[in-house]
Amino acid sequence: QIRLRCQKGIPPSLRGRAWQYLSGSKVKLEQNIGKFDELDLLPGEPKWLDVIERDLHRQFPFHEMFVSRGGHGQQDLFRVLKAYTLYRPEEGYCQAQAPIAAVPDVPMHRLGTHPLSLGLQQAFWCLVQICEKYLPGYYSEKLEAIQLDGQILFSLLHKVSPVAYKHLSKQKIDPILYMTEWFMCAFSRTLPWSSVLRVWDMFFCEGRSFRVGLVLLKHTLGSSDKLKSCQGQYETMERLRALSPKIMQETFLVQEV
Amino acid sequence: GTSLEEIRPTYTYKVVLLGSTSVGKSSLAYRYVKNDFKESLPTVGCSFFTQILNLEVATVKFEIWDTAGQEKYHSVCHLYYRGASAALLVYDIANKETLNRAKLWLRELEKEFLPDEIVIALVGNKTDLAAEREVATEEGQEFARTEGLLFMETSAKSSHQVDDIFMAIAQELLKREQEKTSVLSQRGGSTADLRESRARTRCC
Repeated sequence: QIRLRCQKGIPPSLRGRAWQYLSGSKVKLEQNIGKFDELDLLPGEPKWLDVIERDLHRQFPFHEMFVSRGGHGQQDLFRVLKAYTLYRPEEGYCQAQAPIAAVPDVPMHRLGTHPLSLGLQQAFWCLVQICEKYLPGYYSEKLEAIQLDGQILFSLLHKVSPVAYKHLSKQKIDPILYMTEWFMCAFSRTLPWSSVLRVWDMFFCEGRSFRVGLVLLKHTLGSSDKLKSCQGQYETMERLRALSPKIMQETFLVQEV
Repeated sequence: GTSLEEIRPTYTYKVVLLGSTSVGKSSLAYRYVKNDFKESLPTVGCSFFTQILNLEVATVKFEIWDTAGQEKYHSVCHLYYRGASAALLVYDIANKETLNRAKLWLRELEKEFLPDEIVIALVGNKTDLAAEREVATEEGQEFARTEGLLFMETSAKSSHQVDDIFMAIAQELLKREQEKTSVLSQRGGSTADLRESRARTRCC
């Protein structure tokens, strides 16, 4: 029943709390009281801080919360990402983690009266859960996990849309070329915000899913008519990078998924 | 105008932007194609830009692949530059370390491509940050000279020499096209076969 609820979309007023329970970040926080504060006080490794800082002000036009330079949203995000580099020093910071950390921050922000304490800790443990439970290995050194998922996506495509599969094979387009941003950012930089929330409702409930990627591929490259304007590798890549708004629209996408 | 188009050939080239994170790869591409400046999101994976140059002798179409700079993505980067005709190795003149990274990129490209297979340009971006400069113009220039690379300092923000570097690349590519044709007509196509078989053994 929870699964069905998540497919139908979690009501906005409950979303922040629901994501905490679904992701397990609430339990993690309770098991590790004080851990975030401890990390938060440490200075952090300069090589990671430098990259995070450079990224912060050029991130997320997707939500007003992060727009103002040095504002709450950006400050919070900095602290969450910095804490993660201290929590997993061997992984450090990957640029795709910033949007991953920011998405749950939005619905969770309103939790509690003290957003800077509770909301921030929740956001941190949520990031930990995503990186360790939902997308393990995605952000570590060799990107092996994402390459493997690329291969899985591609073999599933064979069943879902043989036309798209054949086209991509013929043009020798490695899945890494088009699915890296989709998967590493869990579609948060691809889809419109309303669709991101719906996809993430399902993501937290069911784990990473290949279905969204498959729907996007099928509806972009899945018929000979659509392939007419994708004669070369470059044209295909351009098309996959600039997807039709129609197929990314919340109701259409979720229904197809 | 049809007669002109008939004589003037069109060449399509894949151009790849490589370099450390936040040296301005996306901004350079954006300035070049849209003639505008905006702070870009950090690239995850790759972005694409197209530019068409109508030159006197030919039409040149650039297919620009703008890659992610963070070292994390290094292990998959060869998938992006495979088959490129030109590469821009971009560094930030206000960040010395990024020039060292550009030098590493060069070593990697040398392993993947033969010298006549790819035009490489070294690009020192962010000349608008003159006060914070860490790399002297001469240093970049000298390195480019010894390695036989095109070289220019640019600013995507102020638009300094952005068109120029792409134009220099186009000219170099066309020069090589001409050389290829003249060699071909001399030897009756044998070099083309050679090139192709070499390319085949090298792929994958």
